Amino acid sequence: MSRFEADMLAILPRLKRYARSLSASHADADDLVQDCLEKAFARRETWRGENLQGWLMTILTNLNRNRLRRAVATPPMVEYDEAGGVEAEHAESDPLARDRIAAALDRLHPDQRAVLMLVVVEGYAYGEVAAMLEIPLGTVMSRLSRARRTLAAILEGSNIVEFRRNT
Amino acid sequence: MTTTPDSFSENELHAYVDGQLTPERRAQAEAWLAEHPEKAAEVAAWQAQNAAIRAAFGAEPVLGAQDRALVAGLAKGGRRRWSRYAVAAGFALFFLAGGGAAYIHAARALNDGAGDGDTDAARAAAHILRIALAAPAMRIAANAGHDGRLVAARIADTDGGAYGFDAARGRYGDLIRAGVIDPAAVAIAALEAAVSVAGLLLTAEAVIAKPPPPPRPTRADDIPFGPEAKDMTAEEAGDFGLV
Repeated sequence: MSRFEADMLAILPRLKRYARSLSASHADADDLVQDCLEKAFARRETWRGENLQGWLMTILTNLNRNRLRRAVATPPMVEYDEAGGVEAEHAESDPLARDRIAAALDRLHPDQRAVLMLVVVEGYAYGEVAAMLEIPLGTVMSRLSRARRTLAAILEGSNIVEFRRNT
Repeated sequence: MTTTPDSFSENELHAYVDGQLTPERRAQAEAWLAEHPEKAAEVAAWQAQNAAIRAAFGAEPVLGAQDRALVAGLAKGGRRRWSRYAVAAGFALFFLAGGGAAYIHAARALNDGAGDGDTDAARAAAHILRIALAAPAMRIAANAGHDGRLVAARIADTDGGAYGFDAARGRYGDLIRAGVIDPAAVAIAALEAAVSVAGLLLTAEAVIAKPPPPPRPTRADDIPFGPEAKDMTAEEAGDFGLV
């Protein structure tokens, strides 16, 4: 196993977590991670040899933005199949609270959501996020601010979780 | 003593919420927020958001075998190794002999699995399942104007495999060659669902169901030309070596 491969495996759990924090469903997140890894291996030569995690996060963020741009806007609902069973890794969190925050996040602009998740879930410093996404620090702050205000408004307006059957 | 500054920028309040202030500045922020309840409420809301987001997404997913296989495959220059669509298509590629034959062949596993230590209940369950497994093939044959019991017995009498009865042509043979096939995943799901429902009905104290429709008055011209499709009784199944 090459070093690149080993490093990638070490980072993969965090990459999956980030993808899930950006996606409406685990299936979408898995597809996103696969696309990201595929692209990373294809562009292996362009990696500068440092901060593999940041590089992968950047690729995944961009893939996610492109995917959402193409996709038809879907209502912020929880997949019916996923509503019943909450995975063991989330056992400590209240499933209803989880659905509620996830549904609210689905309504955020993808760029704002990416910044919020990189800061809150992945614990990156604002400067790191700016470098990773190649945007000015001021843009990071304004996206973060807008994300939080929008989220607060959505959460205040709704404590109802809607379920959707797969058709 | 901590001096309270005149103002805090919004950016610094975000940094406070995200733990990105220096310890000194953090202490000042706390003192300042104590005097500005309106801002403090907003900050508290952001902190609650952070807590909810971390509770929902904070756990690192555990890597599975397929994750490792994916990375290993890509490292060897392969394309993506798994996709939910590919997996679904892959399952559908596995076919079984159709016409209910696969169910009859599957019933053999009940004989193989039977042991002396089985309880009466287990033997009774296997008995019921054996009869039920023969029912689809019998019904298909009967609907095509053949004797369902004879067809089921003849299928059960073979070595298994894809041997079955092609009702459309009225011939016995290798059904997979004849193109009479069922997707394995569908057949397995149907069987599992049927057993699950049967188990529920057998163990339920009370079941609410629609009453069966009243029997139609029989007239001479209502009698079909061929043998009428009938469900096999346990005794009949025994007669034909299915039990």
